[in-house]
Amino acid sequence: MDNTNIISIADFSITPGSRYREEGPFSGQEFREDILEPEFKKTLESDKKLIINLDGVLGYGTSFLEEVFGGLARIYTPENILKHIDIISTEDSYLKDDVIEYIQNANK
Amino acid sequence: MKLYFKSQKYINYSKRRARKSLKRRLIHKRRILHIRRSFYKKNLKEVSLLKDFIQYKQHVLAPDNLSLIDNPEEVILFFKKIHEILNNNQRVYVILKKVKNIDYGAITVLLSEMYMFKLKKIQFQGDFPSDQNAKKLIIESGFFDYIGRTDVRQNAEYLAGNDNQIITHAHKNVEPVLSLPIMKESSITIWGEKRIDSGLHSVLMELMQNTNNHASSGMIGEKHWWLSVNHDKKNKKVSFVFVDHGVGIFRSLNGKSPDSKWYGWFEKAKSSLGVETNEECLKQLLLGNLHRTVTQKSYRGKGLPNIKRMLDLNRISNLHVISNNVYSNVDKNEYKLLNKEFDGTFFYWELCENNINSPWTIQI
Repeated sequence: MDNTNIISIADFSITPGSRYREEGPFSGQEFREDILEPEFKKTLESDKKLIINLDGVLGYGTSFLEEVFGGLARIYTPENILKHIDIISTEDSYLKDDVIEYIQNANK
Repeated sequence: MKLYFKSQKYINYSKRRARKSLKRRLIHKRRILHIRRSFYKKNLKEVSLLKDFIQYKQHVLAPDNLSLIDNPEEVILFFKKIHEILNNNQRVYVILKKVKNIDYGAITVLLSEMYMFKLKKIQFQGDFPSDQNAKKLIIESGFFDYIGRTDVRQNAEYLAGNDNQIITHAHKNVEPVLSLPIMKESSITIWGEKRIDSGLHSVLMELMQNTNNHASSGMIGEKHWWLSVNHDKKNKKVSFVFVDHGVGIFRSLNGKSPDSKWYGWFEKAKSSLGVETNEECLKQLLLGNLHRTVTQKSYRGKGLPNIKRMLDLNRISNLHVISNNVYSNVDKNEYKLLNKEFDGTFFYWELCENNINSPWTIQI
């Protein structure tokens, strides 16, 4: 049985934007609220793992990633997030470490 | 034969005419005096240079080396003079005749200054460099696409196929989709095919976000950012200039209110990191140490350090930063204080053949 759900940021936008919606299109807030949070809720309820694929985009601003993952951790706690998500980033491997840092430092 | 008017009507009429005539003569005298003073103690060569713009009370002579990267002190002083004239709401004539070397950074800043004059409906005129290479660079840069315009498009647009162009955005918004056509064309110039260099999009996002977040409201032109993209096909290199006329990094920090975490930032930085000058602060900002030290929030303030990281990861090259009174060649780890402040923030970087890149996996 498949215990994972995969979402790819490239399906949302190949040019991820800024932090908040009012700053411009394809923001971290938009992705988190409209796509990631609903999927994460389902993941929590079904006790599955959520895999987020960071590949296939032109690049990331730090605010986008922090708002997505740090923002999620500020709602659901870092421990919960780290337990239920995995990150794929083969094109820029350092992004995986960045995301984990954003999650761990979300409330600091 | 002189006419003498006896009736009061014609006496009043005659008096009005005499007042107007006197006013015109006085204006003309002032103008002649201004011209004579301008020519005073000047040789013939200088006089012929001045004749073109003598109607402009204010004229500014550009330095021979009009390059912000190589000659920041003189060039910043040149732009400061133009800015002072703008603040006095006077028209200006910019003399570029003696310029022998010019770069895209200076062209972009000059354009942004000109635009601020246009926004205030004040005349901004100038001439071309006598040096043909310098003249050609200005013409090909995209500078003249903006000469006749006072409107600014709602969305910044990159026009495919132009080797050099200057893009601007007036509404502080972050425009992520701009990276796509720029990346496509830049990668073809550099590597001969479409490739992805994630450093470009990252840097653009950080800079647009910074302008958005830190440019305060109220000042004309402050919400504009200007991006210049320049393809050097011979050397397989694309250079970028990003300018905003906000208050600059350090003025922005100094202007924080007492309820802001950045209030008293310099004292906190001095006691924790031992920094004493702005150039040391810029270095620490780029390393990410300053934000963490001052605000105690590790999840914000990663924009500038990320730009530095893109340089360290060889995603971009030749990064230069100028903000307020600090100039930095980040690539060479050179940081120095300037005698004059630059009004805003200036970033320059390049993409070249040896920057790390990956295959084009995007379905566009």
